[in-house]
Amino acid sequence: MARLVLEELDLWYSTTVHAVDHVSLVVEDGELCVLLGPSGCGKTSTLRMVAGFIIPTSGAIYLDDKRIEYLYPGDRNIAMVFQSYALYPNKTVRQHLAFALKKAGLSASEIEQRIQQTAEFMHMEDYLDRRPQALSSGQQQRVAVGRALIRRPKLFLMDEPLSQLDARLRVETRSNLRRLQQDLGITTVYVTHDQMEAQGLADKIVVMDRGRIQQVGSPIEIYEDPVNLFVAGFIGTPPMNFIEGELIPEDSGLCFNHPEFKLRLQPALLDKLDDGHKLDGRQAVIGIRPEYVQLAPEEEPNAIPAEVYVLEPQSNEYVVDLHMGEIPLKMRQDKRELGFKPEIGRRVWMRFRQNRMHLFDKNTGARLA
Amino acid sequence: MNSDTRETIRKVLLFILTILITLVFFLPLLWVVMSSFKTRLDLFAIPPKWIFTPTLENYIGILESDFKQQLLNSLIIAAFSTVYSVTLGSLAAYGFSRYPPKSGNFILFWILSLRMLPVIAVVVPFYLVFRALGLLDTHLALVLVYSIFNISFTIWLLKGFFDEIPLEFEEAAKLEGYSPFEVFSRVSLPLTRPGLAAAAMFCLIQSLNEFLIALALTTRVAETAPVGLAKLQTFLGTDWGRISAAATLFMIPVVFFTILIRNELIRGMSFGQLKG
Repeated sequence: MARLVLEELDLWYSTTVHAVDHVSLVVEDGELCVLLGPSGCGKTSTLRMVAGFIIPTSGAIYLDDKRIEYLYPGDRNIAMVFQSYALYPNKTVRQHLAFALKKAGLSASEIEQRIQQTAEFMHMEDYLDRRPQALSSGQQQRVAVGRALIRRPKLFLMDEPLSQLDARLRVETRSNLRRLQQDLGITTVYVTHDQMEAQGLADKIVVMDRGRIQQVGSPIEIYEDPVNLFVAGFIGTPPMNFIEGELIPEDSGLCFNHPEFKLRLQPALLDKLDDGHKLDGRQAVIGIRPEYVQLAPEEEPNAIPAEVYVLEPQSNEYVVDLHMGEIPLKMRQDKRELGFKPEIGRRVWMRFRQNRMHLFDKNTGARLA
Repeated sequence: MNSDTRETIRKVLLFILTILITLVFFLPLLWVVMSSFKTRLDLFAIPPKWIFTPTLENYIGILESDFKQQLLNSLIIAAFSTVYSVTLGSLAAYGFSRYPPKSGNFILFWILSLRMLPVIAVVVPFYLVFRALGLLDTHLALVLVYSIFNISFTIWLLKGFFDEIPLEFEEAAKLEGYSPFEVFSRVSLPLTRPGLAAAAMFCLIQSLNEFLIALALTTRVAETAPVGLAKLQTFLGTDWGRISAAATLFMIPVVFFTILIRNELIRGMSFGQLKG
């Protein structure tokens, strides 16, 4: 099958707009790689360079060791599912499938057979002779995927293919897409701004911001070990809590100092700190995910007082909005594990699980630990 | 009165109103067609005769004159001019829409301004140019002049239609291996059919109706029907019966063509809307 390599890909839209900034990436054979980022981060531009709709300013794209960045889109053996599906209003589903195959040099009987096969595979037999207007959004989406698959391309590109579906259908289609991709073992590059979708689908997530790759990793790595403040804040719902403060030495250890509290950093966190850094007096940001904050009803050593602002009961857990002075924080915990009911206005104490806590440099955003 | 009956009454009233409006516009047309079947005596009867014995003598008379050739000239010239205008116009419009040149708006305005020229201002220059080219009184001369005016309109109309076609439609086809020209001819052009119909209709009517240039550039061989019609008004009097017959014959091709493309035309006139 196919392996995609992007090498130092660079794209300037004009002399001032640097859309894609030296992006290098390897997508292994059969892998589903998700490009994730906020709008304008360069993910779609990157995808469009792979498809051949934009020529990169510099850099190279290899598909199976063949350089393709200057090839005409049709000579790359790539298929794409567009966000809008790009279905022709004047063609039936069957005509869409046939249109996709016409240039593949197959005989009429082969084309007919391939259409039948794909229609069965995608469960589209019942509406082969309908036009797009007569299809539901879910059916349209399947046609868009079917028309891309029918050519058996080396590489599959998807540009937010689920964004037009309603929430329920989106979750269902997501797992269908993933299954399909794994069954066919087809190398896929998938663009989305929805981090839940990325977590659910990807073998490999590429987080992008302002044209640059911020981090590449498996969904778990991205979630548990974000390399900087941007990735940490972008991934996860509810998002990670951030508290700004200063690192100061104390009793041969290190303390995180904040006007409201002082937190002694435990070995679990300190061991991860890079010794090369001189950390004394550095402006730092604590990052901790809501599930790693634990609540205690009474005061405890090294616990931080806060007030319950809002209680959001979810299906199996509480999401508690806390206010620590002016700083809003969120925590979430299983209902049964919490042990007490955090009423609004109640004073509680927060314990941070420090082996799951991160320290970021406030100025550079890079992770210290 | 329940809402169903009220709705029915509303529909009936609207229908009657539509018929009335249509009649107002249709009356002159009806008058011409009726006159073409009247004898000279019936034609001038006061009050006008609504019921009379039809006669074909006007038609026989007009078809024995030069008018047959003039009508044929008109049709040939209009057809060629329409085909050229729509073909070249759609290619140019596609270019402006998908590969806009740097000074695109200026060029587009310049093209449109061709249409704004008062015809009377250019008749003499055209006459001199075609005399120098030795093309006076040829079909080619009129085809060229009409195409100049019609192409500019076609470009403007069709550019709007091409602009409405999402880029993804073309990108999908490019990935499937279609060349840029195939993308134009097999994906985008078919989607502008309503626009093509409206443009063709417009070009056809413009070319058929044009009078001033035809009068100046033709004398005998390539003379068109409007010029011929005008020449039926002589010092010896005006034969309104024959003029009506000629006008009726002249209308037939337009009516026929309109019926042929009416569905596309309605969508074209309401400007695009690929959906629906």
